[in-house]
Amino acid sequence: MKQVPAAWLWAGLIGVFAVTLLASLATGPTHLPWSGLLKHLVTGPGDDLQGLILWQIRIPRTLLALCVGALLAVCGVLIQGLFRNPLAEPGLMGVSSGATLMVVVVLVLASNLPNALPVALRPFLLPLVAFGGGLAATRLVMLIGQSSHYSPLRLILAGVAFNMVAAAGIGLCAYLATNEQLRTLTFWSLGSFAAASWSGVAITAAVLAIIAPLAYRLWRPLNALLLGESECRHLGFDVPVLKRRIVYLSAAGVGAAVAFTGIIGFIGLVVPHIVRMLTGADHRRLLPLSLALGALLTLWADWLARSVLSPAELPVGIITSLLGGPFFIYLIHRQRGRLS
Amino acid sequence: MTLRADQLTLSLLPGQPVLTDVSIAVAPGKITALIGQNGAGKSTLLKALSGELTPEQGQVSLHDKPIRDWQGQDRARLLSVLPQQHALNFEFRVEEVVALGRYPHDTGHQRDSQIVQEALALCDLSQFSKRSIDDISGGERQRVHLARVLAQIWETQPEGPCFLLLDEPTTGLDLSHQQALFKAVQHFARREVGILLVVHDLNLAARYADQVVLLHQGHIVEQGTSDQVFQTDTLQRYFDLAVTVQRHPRHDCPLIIPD
Repeated sequence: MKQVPAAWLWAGLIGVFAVTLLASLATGPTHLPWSGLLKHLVTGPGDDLQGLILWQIRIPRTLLALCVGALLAVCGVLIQGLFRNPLAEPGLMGVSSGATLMVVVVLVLASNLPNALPVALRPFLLPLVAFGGGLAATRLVMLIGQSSHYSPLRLILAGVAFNMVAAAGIGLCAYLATNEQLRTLTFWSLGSFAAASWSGVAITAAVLAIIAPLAYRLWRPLNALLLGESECRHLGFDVPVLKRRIVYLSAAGVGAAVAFTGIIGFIGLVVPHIVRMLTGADHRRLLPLSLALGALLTLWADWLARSVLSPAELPVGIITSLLGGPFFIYLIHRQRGRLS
Repeated sequence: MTLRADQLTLSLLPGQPVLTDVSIAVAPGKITALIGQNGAGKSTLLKALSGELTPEQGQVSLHDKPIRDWQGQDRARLLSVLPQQHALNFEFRVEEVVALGRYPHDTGHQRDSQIVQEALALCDLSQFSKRSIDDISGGERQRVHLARVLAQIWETQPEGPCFLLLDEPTTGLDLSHQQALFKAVQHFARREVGILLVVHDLNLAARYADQVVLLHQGHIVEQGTSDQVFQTDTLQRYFDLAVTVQRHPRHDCPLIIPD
């Protein structure tokens, strides 16, 4: 396939971004007219209802979708680089299900834990728990999948096994949960931006601001790693240290995303793929373009989730899976020759 | 100032040494051919020399410093390795793969691009530079990786001569590109690069190698010039094959003909 110059892609992305942002802010159960929308964007919330809806609901939600989409796409690039497999994604490795399992365990089995913490720390509890769960899951999967070399196939099989056990754990928690907890559980397992808050935006934006530059600094070793671990070492990189960094970065990124929105599948898988098809596999272009496209696609998915059954809304994870699933099948079909 | 292994013993499985008491020196400016049957320990020796495998006994040193003590990037500027197999699951352009060889260097984008183009030309790949690595043949891909490891040691370094380890570099290459590969290797040897290559074509080894090392069941059993190593009885004993060794009609080297 002919590759598109990265500058064109950036110009297109920025244009589409502006339109999507405005559409996302205008869409919802309460219609916000363009004039009111633009006025409140400039002057702040003010004291009327439209201003409050814009600044307390729509803007945090839009920003959260952008940050989470960017995080998921960057982590997808990292995980696919780590496994040298274009069909890997954070979910396949157990990062998302590990994070979700820990969050669900805290919500159902330790529901009093947030009350035991000082009020100021409560917003950080679930992100930390999700981060810990994601990290523990990834370490466990790497440990199970370890052989004399890290074989990508073994690791993915270990991830599949871990996902099954995590699903059983999540199912058990669902069985033990009260009706109210069940609703929260559904929110986690299907993903949604409906509970977006400024504290969620602040934390995911901070995590993104830390992870994105750290991931970008790895573009050379990530390229070298695609040749294989020996070759990466022969090119002067410390492979065990590199792999540890990738694992920690993706656990932190996915953990933060899952903590505020639940599991949103396929962004981490599909976005790096689309960018690779357009500009090739070089991580110097792949990482920043995936970040931007991940943010954009997630915003579209959220906009669709809010528009399809308006004024009701679908969990965004349903939209991403519904669109991502067929795309995944297309990818497997397209890459049949190369994966054999 | 060499790349050398002293009295290496190395096992991949406990109690089953693949290499036993192996000592070898890769001299700058010389081509050393490592020959032997499948499973003799050739690739393992190459991996030990590159520092990828750690021996139980003995030591590998690069410029008189243990290979383990070298910082990764410094080592990679001096020592370039072409493994036997390549697994690249992602779409890179040919010139992007060759540019990977410049990663250990801080020579700047302009100089790196120039070296990449020269390495592509040397390996007869200039016309493929913008193609995807997926859209070329297996032999062409092998040449792309050769260009990459050559780009890695393209310039002489202040620390001393560079070394190039090639594991079966002629795999998948047609006759003319096999010859071209050895001509390229000779060109680098003239620039004081020390070269060790694993090769199964004994006639190529006989013609181009300054030194031949014969490995058998993890031991070095013969070592010397091609005239010294390529003796009828030696080859029959260690390759389990009846051969006739003659003088090459046009080059001053032995010619090995299986009976």
